[in-house]
Amino acid sequence: MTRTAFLAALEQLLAPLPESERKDALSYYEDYLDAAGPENEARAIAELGSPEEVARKILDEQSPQGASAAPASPAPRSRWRMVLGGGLAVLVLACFFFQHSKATPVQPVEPASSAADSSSVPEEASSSYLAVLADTVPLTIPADDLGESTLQIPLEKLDQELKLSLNYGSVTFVTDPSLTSDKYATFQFDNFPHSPVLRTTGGDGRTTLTFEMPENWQVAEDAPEAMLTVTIPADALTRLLISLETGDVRLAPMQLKTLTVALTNGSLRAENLTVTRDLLIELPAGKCMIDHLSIAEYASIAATYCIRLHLDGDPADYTTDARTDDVVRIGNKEYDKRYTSSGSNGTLNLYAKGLIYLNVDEQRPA
Amino acid sequence: MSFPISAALLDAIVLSVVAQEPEGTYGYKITQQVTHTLELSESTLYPVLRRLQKDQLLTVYDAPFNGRNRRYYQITSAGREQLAAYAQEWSRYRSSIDTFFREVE
Repeated sequence: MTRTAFLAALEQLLAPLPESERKDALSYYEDYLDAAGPENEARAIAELGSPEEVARKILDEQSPQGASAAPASPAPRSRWRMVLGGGLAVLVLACFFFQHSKATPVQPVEPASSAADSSSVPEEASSSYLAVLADTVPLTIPADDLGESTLQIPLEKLDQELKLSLNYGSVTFVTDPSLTSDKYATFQFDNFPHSPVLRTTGGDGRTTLTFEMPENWQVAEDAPEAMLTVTIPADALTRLLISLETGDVRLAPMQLKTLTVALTNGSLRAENLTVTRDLLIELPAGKCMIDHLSIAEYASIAATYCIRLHLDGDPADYTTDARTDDVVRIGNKEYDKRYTSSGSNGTLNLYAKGLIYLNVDEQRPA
Repeated sequence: MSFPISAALLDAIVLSVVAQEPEGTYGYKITQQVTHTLELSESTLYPVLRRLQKDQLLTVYDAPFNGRNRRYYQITSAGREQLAAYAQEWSRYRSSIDTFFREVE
């Protein structure tokens, strides 16, 4: 497109504007092409895009609703639903901010490990709460200001890797086929504060969901438990990484190549879990209970309280190193502090302060 | 992969590019400088410059260049104040976003 044709088209397209605005824009682009110089003119015109595009940007800016600069429009407060399939790199899905301001970050309280019995502890011991630094006043989020949201992500966006990183709330995986679409994984957030869930999707089947409690906020003590429920086919994921600061994780039967679970204050429960390459579990203030675990290569589980596993086959068939401050019980035998074995079924490293039970229930009389 | 650039951020970037030239600078040069660093369409800049001019954060004057008048943009003192505020806000925003990536390997 020649300079003359470009400017003529632009002038026509800007007809809706007041004359002074139109003249200003035209003189800007005349200037622009002068400055580019005759030798760069064709390239400069091509880079600007079509006159329609150039004009649309100018008209958008003029129209009152056009400015994309405007702060996020007010959103429904309590319920939001989105189905997103696009390939956007990062989407801040929902930015519902309370009118509160900020101060120091919320700090998870250190687990009361000194007080904790090193043997198995009751369920409630793994629950946790948020506190703030002493010199700040926490802004409490009332229980009725917690909301729900549902997000659907196409399975191909996460078939290589799904990473969940939440500093508040628990996570449950559901693989009930009757609940599962074969195209989307559903992420249901219940009782979460209305602050952004950050979603990062690579074009390569990797998705990360991050939730961070806004600075200096805490949830009211009577708040219902925050829970992210992920509904997904049992074999949809290859790598799953879950990192939580306050909550627990419960996994439905599923098959994975790699599973990493790191819970600062929580426990892990799973059933019929198959991990063909690496299983890494770190529970510095929790316990680990896996009803039926099948590993092929490597598993490392560290839990402060106790580990209870039902392994596929005899623990002696694995290369096992199980260490505890208490006892390792395998079937009806007890080993003080440590149990090792060398087998060909894969490597199993276990460490707990409390009891380690391997295949105990299987040995019970029916 | 790219992150969308908000209009406020774009305003701040353009202000800072113009601020680097106390004598003033012109549309083509500003566009080249910004698009050199950011993936942005060249036609994005005019509406931004026009908006900043209307908000009196930039001022324009014409000066002859090669036998023709060229329009120059200069930052105003209000523009400098706004730029300082943007810079501060950006640094706050950046550190809050960085908290998400603290543990990314």
